[in-house]
Amino acid sequence: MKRSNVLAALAALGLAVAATTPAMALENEFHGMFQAQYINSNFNGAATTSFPGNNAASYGGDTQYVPFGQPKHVYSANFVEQRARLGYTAKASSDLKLVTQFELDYAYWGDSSYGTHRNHGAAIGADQTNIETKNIYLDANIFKDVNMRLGMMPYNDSFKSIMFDADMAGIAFSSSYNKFTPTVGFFRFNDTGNSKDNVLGHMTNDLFVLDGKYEVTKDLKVGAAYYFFRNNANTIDSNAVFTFNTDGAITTPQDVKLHVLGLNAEYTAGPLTLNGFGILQAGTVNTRSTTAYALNAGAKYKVGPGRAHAEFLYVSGDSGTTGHSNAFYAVFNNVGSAEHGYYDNEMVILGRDKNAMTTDNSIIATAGNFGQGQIGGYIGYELPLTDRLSTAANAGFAAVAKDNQAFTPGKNHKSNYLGTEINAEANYKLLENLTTSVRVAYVFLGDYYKGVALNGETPVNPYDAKIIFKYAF
Amino acid sequence: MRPCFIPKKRSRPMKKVLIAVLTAFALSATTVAFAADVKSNEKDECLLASKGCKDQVDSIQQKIKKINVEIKKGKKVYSAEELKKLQQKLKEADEILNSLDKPGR
Repeated sequence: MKRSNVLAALAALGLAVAATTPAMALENEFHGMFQAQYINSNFNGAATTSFPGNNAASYGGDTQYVPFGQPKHVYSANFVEQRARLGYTAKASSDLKLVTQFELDYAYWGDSSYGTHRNHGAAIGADQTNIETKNIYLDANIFKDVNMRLGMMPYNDSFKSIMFDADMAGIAFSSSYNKFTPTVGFFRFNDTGNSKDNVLGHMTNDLFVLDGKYEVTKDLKVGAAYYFFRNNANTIDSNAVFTFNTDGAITTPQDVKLHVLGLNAEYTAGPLTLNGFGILQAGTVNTRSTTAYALNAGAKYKVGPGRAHAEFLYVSGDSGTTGHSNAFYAVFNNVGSAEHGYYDNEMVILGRDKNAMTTDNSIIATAGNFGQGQIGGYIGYELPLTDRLSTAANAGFAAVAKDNQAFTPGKNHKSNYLGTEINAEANYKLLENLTTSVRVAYVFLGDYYKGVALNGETPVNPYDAKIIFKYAF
Repeated sequence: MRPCFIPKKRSRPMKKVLIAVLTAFALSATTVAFAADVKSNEKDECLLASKGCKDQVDSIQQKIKKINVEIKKGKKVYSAEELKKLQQKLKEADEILNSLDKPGR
């Protein structure tokens, strides 16, 4: 081959390599989801789930069921809400990537347009400024077996998310030594120094995390975690019944120094999986010395063509407002909603709904349940019928652990029993990645709500029905 | 004299065409290698080390499926260290799906 031809061949080979190299150097991953759901309910989007006078009612409810002083019968709501999430990951190598995620919500079709309002923009004309940044963080394997996450990331506790499960800014290092997986992290929830004395880092709401998991055998995994909550920022009081003004939730200076120690375990034996945890909280929460705890047990068992599951959760409560407290502490944001959630019970109204988006209301919306705590037992069965069609049904029974006259100041509730929920769902895969679902739920209210509606009447039982379309890619 | 030069002059374009065809073949062969499914006894370098991912666009569900297939190949194909890496990637993919599906406001 002549020199010129050799050069031509080398040039061609060089071009081929150059064309391949960028794919090796930077991998772009793009993922997302879309969900739209029609809701018919006398619970979500109705008067009994909005605190009067709170501007957050424009979100289709304000997280908590509050039929107190409301008419016994409420009109049923009919609306459609939708959500899209878009995630982009820039992967420089398998050891380094930037992860981002954005969200665009419509609280309900027809809400507003041409303005600036998160979770809105579905009125005619659209053109709303409403994009939300959920996550921006660096994920890097900085040393052999040491992973670092830095920035605004999703993070949750190791106890079925009953204390925190949110997007939060911080830094977390995790590792893996054979069967041991330790994690250490620091997160800053709020910094309100600027509004108090113009010193950043002075009045903050922080979390320190030390977590370890150990695989004893293939079938037995155990874990332990220590969390330290330090909050001396202006935030909402996690145990008080929320108070609102026209600007939303009222924040007050907090003083929380709370140590949390928890143990968890999971054991599998053939078709049976058992899991559970225990949590002890000790310290001070706003001058009250606090000792609170939570216990959980869960089971999943393959029966016939489907799978049965059961859950039990006890969270301590406190009947008083002074002296030593047993009220359980969990994380909130400053707009008055929980940044934690217990979803393993598969409830729709009694607990937080796995399909909830902007409209996200519950009878037990928070782990501490305004200092009352909670006792709940839940059972369910999942039955796949075909490759495309699956069904499930659940029942739940829940009460407050202690009556502290929440929502009815100066007056005890008739009972601690909150209610019994039954729900059922069917999911059909229309296309690969596109699923349509129907989920209905009904709650037989307990005597906790007896006589709490307007004129001493008892509110009608709440229900909720959804038709859902969900696409994820 | 002139006819004698004609074949020589034509031979150069022929060689160039040949080189171009061979190059195109080489390139197409590379592309086919990228696009083809990974054989049961081969490593998936795209999943493992972000190499050779050209033209691959997987949904998150497809990605999870693929990683599970690779993990099932086990120690016949992957070293213990590589299997650990794949497990980590499965965890990350699950995290992405959970994050997209996460309920709440």
